[in-house]
Amino acid sequence: MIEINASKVLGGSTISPSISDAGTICIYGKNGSGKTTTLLMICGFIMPDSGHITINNSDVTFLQPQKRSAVFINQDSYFPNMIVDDHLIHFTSGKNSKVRDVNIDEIRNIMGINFGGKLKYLSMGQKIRVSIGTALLAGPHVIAIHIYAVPAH
Amino acid sequence: MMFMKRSRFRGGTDALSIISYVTIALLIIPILFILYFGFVVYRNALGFSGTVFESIELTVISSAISAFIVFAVFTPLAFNLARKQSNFMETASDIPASIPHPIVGIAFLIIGSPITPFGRFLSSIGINFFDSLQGLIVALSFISAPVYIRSAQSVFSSMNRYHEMFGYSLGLSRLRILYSVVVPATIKDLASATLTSMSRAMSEFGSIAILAYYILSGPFKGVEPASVLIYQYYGYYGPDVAVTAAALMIIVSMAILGITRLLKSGIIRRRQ
Repeated sequence: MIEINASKVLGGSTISPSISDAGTICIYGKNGSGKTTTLLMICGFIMPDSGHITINNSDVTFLQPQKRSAVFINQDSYFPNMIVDDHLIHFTSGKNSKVRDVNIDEIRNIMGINFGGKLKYLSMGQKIRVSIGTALLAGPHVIAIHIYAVPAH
Repeated sequence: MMFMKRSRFRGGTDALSIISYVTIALLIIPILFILYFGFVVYRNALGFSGTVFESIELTVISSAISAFIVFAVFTPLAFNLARKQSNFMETASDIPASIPHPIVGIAFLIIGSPITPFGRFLSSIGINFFDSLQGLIVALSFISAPVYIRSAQSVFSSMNRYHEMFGYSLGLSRLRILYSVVVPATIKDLASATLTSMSRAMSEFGSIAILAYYILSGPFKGVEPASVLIYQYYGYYGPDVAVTAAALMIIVSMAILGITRLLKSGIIRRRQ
């Protein structure tokens, strides 16, 4: 469950996201409407100027990103020098890990990770699959996936 | 057009290129003169003696050890400076580069002497800075640290931060991200920065002329660092021997710089 009711002034315009929802949430809008800023605020990389953010009824507005249990993923969310297997299991023993006994093969199957090697040599799609798999194994409360899409005209 | 290789733009020599060639010549000509006078005009057998080679060996080894220490000790600071603005830390990290280096030698002489509690503690565990390899390495590490910190800071500033953000959001501490993500991803750049700081250490004279004029014990007993030996030869024998020894030292320094350059060009090619 995410609740965000905050505002942030960026470059002369004010972004004021208001969300209260759970499950899979899709945020879409025009360029500059504040989608990325909203995700970064949820994950703690941008502090709102006012308002509050709660995750599962805990106020995380002023928490550091490490303590929010909210993973931010975009096309660069990977560790370039790690191999796929190490990348997937590296964080399952972390403080925030909720899925310690999960079957990694299950995540591999779900995410279609049937490849190996260092992350930096994979395609963008493969990297994102590994990033999401890594996040699922770490078991955060929120996985914020940022996808760039350019509409066709 | 943005992705065209640099070579495509080679087509003519403009005013900026001419100014660049002239200024580069200003830097290279004195070195060429030393090499010419050292190996041709003033060529002297004493300049190729075992004493000179031992001295260069001491300089290279102590500079390499100090560069490794600087890499191990100052990488976290460089990362922190690249991520968090701190005028105090920025200024403090530049201090060794901005004070006259004989003062650095005197400072370590006082710190390591029995007149200070810290000096007595160091003596009690067998560490002595005066005329010792330990003192030489400490002085070289101190004066070459700013060179490494600035280079490493620039490396960290230019890297993609989304890799780190992913780590933070997974709950990793900054230190763990530094060693499990950032250092492995930038190791060649950091090696290049380390070699640059080693080059700086090899050229040091002011601090070590005071702190470690020669080494009194250990494997380099009786050996002087190359810069000190060249200065001493200049006083004893005039330019003949000193310039020959200096030319030898320049060859070694050029080799280190060449390796650094090769490493950097490899990194640039990889990025293209």
